[in-house]
Amino acid sequence: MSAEKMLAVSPAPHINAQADTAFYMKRVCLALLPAQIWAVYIFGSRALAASAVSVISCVGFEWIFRRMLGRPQTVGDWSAVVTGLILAMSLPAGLPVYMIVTGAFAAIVVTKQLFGGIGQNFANPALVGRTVLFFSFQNEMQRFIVTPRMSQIMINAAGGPGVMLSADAVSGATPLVLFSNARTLPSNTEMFLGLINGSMGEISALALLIGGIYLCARKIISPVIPLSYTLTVMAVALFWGFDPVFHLCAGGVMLAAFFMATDYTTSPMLRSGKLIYGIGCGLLTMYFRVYTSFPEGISTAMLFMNALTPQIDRLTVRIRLKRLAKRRDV
Amino acid sequence: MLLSSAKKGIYLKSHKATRQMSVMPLTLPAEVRIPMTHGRAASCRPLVKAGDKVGVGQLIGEAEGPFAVPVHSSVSGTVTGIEELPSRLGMNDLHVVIKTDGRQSSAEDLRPPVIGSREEFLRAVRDSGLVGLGGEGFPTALKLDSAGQAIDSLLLNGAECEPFVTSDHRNMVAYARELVQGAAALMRYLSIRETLIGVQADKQDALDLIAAQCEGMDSINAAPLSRIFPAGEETLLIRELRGTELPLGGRPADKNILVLNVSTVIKLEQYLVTGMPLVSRTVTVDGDVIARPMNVEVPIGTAMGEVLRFCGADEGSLRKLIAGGPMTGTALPDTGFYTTKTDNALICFSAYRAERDRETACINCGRCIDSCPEGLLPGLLFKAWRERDEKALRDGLLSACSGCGCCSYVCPARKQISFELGLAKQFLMKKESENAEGGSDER
Repeated sequence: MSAEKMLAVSPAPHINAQADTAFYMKRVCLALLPAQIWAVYIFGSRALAASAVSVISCVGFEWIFRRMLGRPQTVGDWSAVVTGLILAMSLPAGLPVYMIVTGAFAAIVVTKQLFGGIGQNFANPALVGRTVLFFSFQNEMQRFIVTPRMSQIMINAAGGPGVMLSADAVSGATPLVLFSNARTLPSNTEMFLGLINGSMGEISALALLIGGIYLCARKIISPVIPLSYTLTVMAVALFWGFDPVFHLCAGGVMLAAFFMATDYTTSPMLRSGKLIYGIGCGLLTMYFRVYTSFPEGISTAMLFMNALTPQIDRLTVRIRLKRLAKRRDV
Repeated sequence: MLLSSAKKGIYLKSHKATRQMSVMPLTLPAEVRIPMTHGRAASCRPLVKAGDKVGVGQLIGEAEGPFAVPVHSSVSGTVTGIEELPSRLGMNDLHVVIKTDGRQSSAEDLRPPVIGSREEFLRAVRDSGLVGLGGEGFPTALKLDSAGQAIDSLLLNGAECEPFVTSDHRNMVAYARELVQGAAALMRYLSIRETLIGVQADKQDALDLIAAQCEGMDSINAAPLSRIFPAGEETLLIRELRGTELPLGGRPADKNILVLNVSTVIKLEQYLVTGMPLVSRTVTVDGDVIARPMNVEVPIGTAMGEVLRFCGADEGSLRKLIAGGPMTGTALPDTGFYTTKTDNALICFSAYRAERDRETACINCGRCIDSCPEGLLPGLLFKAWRERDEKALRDGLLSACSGCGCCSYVCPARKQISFELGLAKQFLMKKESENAEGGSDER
């Protein structure tokens, strides 16, 4: 036997799907690309710079933290890149660098790594990062820059040159702020295409939809959460006599539906749970929008549902196993 | 549909390069070492000694007890000794060493069995030396016997859902008649009313040939199976062909069903007609280090190295040798083993395919849940096992896990879920027997 070469021995199965964690995370990055490109088109190079800062600081914090604790390095799984991109998409383009870094710290170190790293976080890191920033820097988080391209869009929307804002960094109001103040709203087409102001990755529902459909088609995410979330938002809007398309395209609903609420770790694992979760997110989002003057409806709604996820899982798993046992009994 | 877990099992790239190739006989080896243990059968006592002359099909290993299955010589020649060599299970096993004389003359006393009753039929099945040839390796006579008298439906498993493997497929194509005749014999002697031959839909040629043989027989039919892995797993096969659920931890016999592999039935029919017991079997040899992938008819007890060389294996770059298919087969530590009755395939991978990535953290993606053909929650069971949480393992219906490997296959964190769930099953069984011994009625 000694003449024989020793071979690799491992338990079955001896083949596996090619997709690993990094594979899925890279696909999510790819799906965010349309929104990123649109952000650069509207807000210029500072949108690119803000995303770069966010991604680099997220990956950097993850790398430093794992190294400091002597844990296996996990930056290779691309999850920090995803967090960085989603965080950037949910921020105004002109946010100062140190604030973005603060958000990244809250996302990666506080929310993710202090709880054990990927798969262990109780809430979506990017969501917490954005929420922390919102409560820390309320003014800056609501100051949306008006770039030359943005002013051009606004001129066109107004039907001709009016009192125009020439300089950068003059704040423009988002549709939701206009909605709260009962002002004239942009048209649904403008909202859908992204010819509006807002957080840099949230303005174009179309760009987010392209990425979201890609993720569903490639089976990276299940369509249950995005569908139940968006349909609930529209249904509630309709019920209260608002324009459902406006509420679907305004603010971060599309970003949240496809990229935040579908986060594997913080959403339920069974289809039935996902349905409950999506409907819950939709109901809470609309509740906060209609009944509070508070502009962070989506973040709050989703953090609430993140916290409920273990309970939803427990309930749906119990039902599933009970049914299975019944089906397989003599 | 949104609510039900519609998709069960997984779709695998089939890699069946040998699907169109007829079975080639192996060049007769100069020497065979025939193991006395095959599959899950108990070990046999060698009946021959050095110097004895043997013919093909001669009884050389006597079965003692119901769990053993007799072993026959696969060659004609001279016994040169009895050696203790490592077996698949990591233990040693007796091997009868026979130097071949090249004539392959049959043993003198071979004649078809005379069968008049159920008992004589079971006796004949036992004498044929058959174990489940699909890789399961359970003694066929014992399976038929323990199924009892109430069996009314026979399911023949021709799913062959493992990638690469085509030995059942080629046997069905070459011996469709024997397959249907064998089914008829089983039905006659075991008073079974109907037979369904399940074949995965990608093997249309086999389905057509079997259907042609079934013509005029109302009670034997061929049925296409879905393309998923593991369509041939017992609970899935029964679900798909009979539309009924096996009880948890139950056997097909609980539903009056008997499941047999198609190649087993073909070999049984050949024994009933010719009296030649199981002395060789079809082995699919494939993988990225095999120059000429093919199906080979291999005498039981042939050195694996010999089979691999016959198919042009590049032994220098061989890094993994799998006895059986890549989803459920066993990786062998070296090529120094001898073929048994259960080796339906030898799959050879180079380093490129042999290496596995390091395990990373579970991201809760739920793919294991979507893939589980039993509808279990493998990720949760896995966590419960790592925490040695007995209650969670039981509540999670661990006993329903068939170890098919779908969850390990899809896991992006590269966790060996199904393997560890196998360990968890042993853990639970041990705990249960401890509780029983302690006389406690704690559940």
